[in-house]
Amino acid sequence: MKKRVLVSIAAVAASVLVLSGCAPSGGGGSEKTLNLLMVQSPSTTRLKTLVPEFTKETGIKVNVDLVPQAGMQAKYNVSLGSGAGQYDVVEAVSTNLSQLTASKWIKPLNSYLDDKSQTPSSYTSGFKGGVLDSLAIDGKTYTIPFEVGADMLYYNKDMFTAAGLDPDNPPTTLTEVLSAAKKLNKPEIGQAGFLARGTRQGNENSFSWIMMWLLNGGRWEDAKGKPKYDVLDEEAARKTTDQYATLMTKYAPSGVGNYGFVEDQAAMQQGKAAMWLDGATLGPSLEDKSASKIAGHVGYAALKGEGGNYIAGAVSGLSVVDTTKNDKEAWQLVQYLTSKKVGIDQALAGVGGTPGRTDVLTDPGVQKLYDPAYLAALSESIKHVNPEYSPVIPQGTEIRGAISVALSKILSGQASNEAAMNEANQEILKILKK
Amino acid sequence: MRRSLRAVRIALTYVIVLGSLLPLLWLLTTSLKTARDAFSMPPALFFLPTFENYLAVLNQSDFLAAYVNSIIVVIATVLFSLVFGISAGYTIARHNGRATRAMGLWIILVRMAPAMGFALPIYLMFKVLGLLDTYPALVLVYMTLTLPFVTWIMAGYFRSIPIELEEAARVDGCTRVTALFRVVVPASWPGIATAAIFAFIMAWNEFFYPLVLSGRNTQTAPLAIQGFISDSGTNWGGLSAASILIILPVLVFTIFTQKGLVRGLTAGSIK
Repeated sequence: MKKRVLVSIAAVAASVLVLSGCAPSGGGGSEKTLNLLMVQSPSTTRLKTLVPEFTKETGIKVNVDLVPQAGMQAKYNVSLGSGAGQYDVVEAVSTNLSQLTASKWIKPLNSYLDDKSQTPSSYTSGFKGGVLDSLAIDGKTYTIPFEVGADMLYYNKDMFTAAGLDPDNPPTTLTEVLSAAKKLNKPEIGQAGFLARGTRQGNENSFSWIMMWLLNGGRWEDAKGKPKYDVLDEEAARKTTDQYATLMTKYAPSGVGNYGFVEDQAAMQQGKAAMWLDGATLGPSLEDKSASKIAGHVGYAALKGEGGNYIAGAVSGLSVVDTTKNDKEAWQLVQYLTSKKVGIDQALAGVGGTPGRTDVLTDPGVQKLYDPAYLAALSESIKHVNPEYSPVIPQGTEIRGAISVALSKILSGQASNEAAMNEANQEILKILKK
Repeated sequence: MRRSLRAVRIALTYVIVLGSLLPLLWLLTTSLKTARDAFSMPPALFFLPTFENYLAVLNQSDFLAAYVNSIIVVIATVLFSLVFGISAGYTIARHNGRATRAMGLWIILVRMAPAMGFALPIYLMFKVLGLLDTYPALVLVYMTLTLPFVTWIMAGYFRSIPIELEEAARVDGCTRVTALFRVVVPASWPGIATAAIFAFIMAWNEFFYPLVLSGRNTQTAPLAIQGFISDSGTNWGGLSAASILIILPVLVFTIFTQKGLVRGLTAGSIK
């Protein structure tokens, strides 16, 4: 009997060992190897293809893991939270930067940035408009951006002309957007005046609201510059809610409460809406003739707002993991993947239309490829980017969730603007007390 | 009157069946449309089908690799789950001791805990054992989902098979093990087929564990398909084509295994 048990255990162990033998190996050898974790997107997929060039130049081997956006949080929590040291460099995005820094999963990069022997000044000078400063937390830089998702207004030039508006003089303030939307809204021919995100799934509608709120001077701080998150009863928030509600209930397509950026993008491409306020990464697809009926007829405008940093900038950057034993090599990799050369490659490949570096946009090849109006609007938007558009505290997602629920109630007519936002404000206070 | 009632019932059945198949039909047609046609309003019912999306997906080496990874891991998972699940299920069915009952309960309790609860300890264990981003890691962790299920399904099925059959086999000279594999298992094909189909589907669609434990070498299809959705939009054509390709093995496996359901009713000892 005992023998049988032992044989069974041996059989299981043998099976596992056989399977292990079948498994792809992770490689080895004496050369330095870095492990890089990024969120899967066209931009990072392209970056992955550029990594062999880095290995050729430096001799440092790099293993790249791309994780789907839907699973990013869980992957980070387990692989970084365990302190197992699986990765040396990770992608940090606006929404998780606060968690990464608060948990001390990534380290400050100032010592590398200030060290001229490790970082040439030509590298840092390419980040204009204070992008690096605005990403700093307590005066320390934790991530170097390779993509900045500044928002802008897209519009259908033909619809502007048909409505008697000048397509060369697009609206540049929210008040002008409201007035144009009224003229452009023609439900009788299936044409909506305006589009933004309406769905509360993934807190998407709160992103559109925040874009408008920043333009109206809203910030996650009080008059003295101290962090403040129960801001929904303030003037900027009230004004924004009224504008959002008017645009989305009067001038947007019916059912816009279920529209996310995917549906918005499709509606614009199909020529069903005249204006759309959203991130710049979504713009190039409107000019894709194979997918868009309005290709060649798209206008771009950078909106103007109050204060210096009024554009919501969803930043994607690269950070060095705190537990890495290969600091210098990790910084070399970060520098390479955020260099002007790689930025230009990204832009020319059509996957990094919103580079973190503004010097990429001045490259002749990039200027030739993109619509000058798009590049002009993008350059203008990036100058005013605010990477802290979302509350950069661990409860940030919950706060966005409270705003999303309120907006959803407003769009479905369940509550008045004021009642919904007051309720959300109370909810935020509860979240902060937890 | 009775005839018209029957006609209504049949019509209703068709409506329900077609209604439930509509999402699949939408997926199939979207996979055959250009991006421009995919969301045209009103929907383009008649269009020139294109295989561009399929060609694009099949030309993506990352997706193909993930597809192959999924097939390897899932087949290994189903095989191991059946081998261990049949043995464990048989033991639970035929032994009525307190320890066996406790073991049965313990097995199903594992299935009740949320995956996130296991993720960190499993991740750390596999990290120490050097199993991260390997096939055995995925097979072992998938089996935490499928093995309890297979064990319980098989235990239930074995209980429904009269013990006299085994006793007759034992009288004819079979050992317990040969009686199990020569008499009980052939009579249990419907149960085995059901367990295999569900285990295959569970493992095939698993997202969370491969997300945490796999890497560039072992990424599976459910992870790869998420790559069609990003901040820059959703590649609906590619996503639909990839979805159809992902459904295919499940469909083939189900059709193939379904034969076992029918065969089990007529083969084996029960005739």
